[in-house]
Formats: sequence, structure tokens, C-alpha cells
Amino acid sequence: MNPKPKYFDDDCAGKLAFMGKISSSVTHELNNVFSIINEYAGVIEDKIYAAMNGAEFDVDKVMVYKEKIVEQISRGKKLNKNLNGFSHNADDAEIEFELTSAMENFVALTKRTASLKEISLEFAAYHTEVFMKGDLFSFEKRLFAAMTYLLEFAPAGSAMKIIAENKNVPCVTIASKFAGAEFEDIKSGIENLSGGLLENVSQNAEPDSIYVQLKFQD
Amino acid sequence: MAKIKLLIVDDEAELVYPMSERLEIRGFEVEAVTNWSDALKLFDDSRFDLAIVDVKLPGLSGVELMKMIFQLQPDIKVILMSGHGSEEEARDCKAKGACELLIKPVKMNSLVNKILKIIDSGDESEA
Repeated sequence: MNPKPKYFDDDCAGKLAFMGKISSSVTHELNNVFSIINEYAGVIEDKIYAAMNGAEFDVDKVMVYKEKIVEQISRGKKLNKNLNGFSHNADDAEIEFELTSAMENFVALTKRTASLKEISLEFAAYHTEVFMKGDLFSFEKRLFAAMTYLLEFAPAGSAMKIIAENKNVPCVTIASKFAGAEFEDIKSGIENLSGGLLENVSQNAEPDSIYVQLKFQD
Repeated sequence: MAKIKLLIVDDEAELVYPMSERLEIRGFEVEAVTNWSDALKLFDDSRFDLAIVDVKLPGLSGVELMKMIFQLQPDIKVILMSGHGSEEEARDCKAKGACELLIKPVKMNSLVNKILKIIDSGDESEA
């Protein structure tokens, strides 16, 4: 694995590094949104100039381009809302939140981190309306550390799932594939960085799958 | 006169298609793909004058892809695109063989001028 990322640490610098990692990823994606809007606005401008010079003005095509701009504005607003919600998680050491919507937001914000490794990140909720109180930001930081650690072993093209559940205690499971390393080695790596939140690491019946369950600390 | 042939590689499909259309309107021949493996496959039976490659691609960085493209077609010119490039990053990309590092969103007139300048200077150096 590459040198240990700063956001694996639990100190203040580690938390800042986690915040930086998420915000740099989302702002990169927001920049893509602006770039797409820029290109579609440019195509519309090109079509208008062409029509002014005698070419046929294809209204239907221009309406499609306009719709693409509207889609990107909606995408950008959602990204902005997700990042704003995430940033407020750090307001207090203890906040009230609902687990499934918090994890859905977490997956939306970290999808790009996974996709750069050619892994598709998916969200699932086995239970809903799991209302909680606690240090969500620190939990998400540990979850992100575990997730990025597992991404190092996940084969390109595979899927990783983040599952919110409330069986005995509220917890989140990362279900992933792995290759190129032994299960026990990955398990000990996860144990070192989960800071006491680790509920369970298992393989179940599938030899190339790993399930890492993190629980909330009261 | 033959059209200048461009390859665009960016994982944002919604970005590459309008960009391709705008470049085609301006007289270029354009192929656009959204991942590094499709980009490399194109070199099986195509040659390009210039490739425009995003720095951050899933699975392989734009700089790594550029190096692989140079192995397949050593005389190709490459412009890299980045969302938030610094001067240091621009120097680094040029040191690795890129002609330019453009920051997105890209201004079309500026992109076209840069393409023409790069192609012209390449023609002069070959003369």
C-alpha cells in the first residue's frame, strides 16, 4: 500500500485532512459541472451564430442542449447540498442525525474517490429511521479511512457497498471484493485504523469478499 | 487539405461530446472516449495529430496515459486538462511531454489557438 494517508490519524490534523480530501473531491466534481455547462452554452452559441449566417436553426437540438444545462445545475445543487450537510457534521462533537440519510450522503460524497479506482460505490439501507446522537464526523472519518484502505485491494471493475443497519446496535458495513492480499493481512490493517469502532470483520462464504462492520460509539 | 485529427479523453461523457461538436464545427476531425482503455484501442487503426487528455482519469492518470500514447505514436502532441492546475503542475506536465496544461472550463477560442499553434510548430520542426 502507498504511505499512510494523513486522514488515517485521529488527531486534529487527521480530521482536517479528511475534510480536505472530501472538499477537494467535491469541488473537482463541481468544476466538471461548470465545464459541462460552459460547453453546452458554447454549442448553443455556435448554433445561434450559424443560424445568423444562414444555417438551419435546429430548435429540438438546442432544447436538448438547454435540458443538459438544467441537468447539470441540478447535479451541482445536489453536490453543494451534500457538501454543506457534511461540513455541518463537524459543528459539534455530538450532533443528532439519522443514520441512513447520513450514510447516503457519505456515499454521494465519496463515490468519486471510488470511481477513480474504477470501483463503483453503492449504498444500501437495511433499516430506516435510525435516529442517533454522537460524533458523526469522527465516525465518517474512520469509515472513510477503512473504505479507502479496502479500495487499495478491490479489483478494478468491482462494486463496493456501504450498508447502514440497526440489528443490535447501529452500525455500517463495508462489503467489498479483494485481490492480491490475504484476508488476515487486510483484517489486521483494518483493525489498526478503526480506532475501537470495529464490530466485526468477516469473509462469509465468498473467499474474495470482505465485510467490515463499524459500530457507533456512544 | 486534410483535417487536423484530435482525440479527446475525459471520463465526463457530458463534457466530451459538446466539446467534440464545437471542435468539429471549427473544422477538426474528433474522436472522443471516456476511459483510458478505449483511448489506447483507437491507436490500433488510427493516428492522431493531437490528444486532449484529462489529468484525472479512473484507473490511470492522464500523465500515465500520455506516456502510453507516446509509446504507440511517438510524434503525437498532447494537451492535458485539469480542474485545478497550479503552475508547478503545468511545469511538471510539460516536463513529462505535454505541450500544454489547460484549466477547465476551457475557453474554446483559446483551445483552438493552442491546437493550431502546437500543430504549426510541429510542422515547422519537421520541415
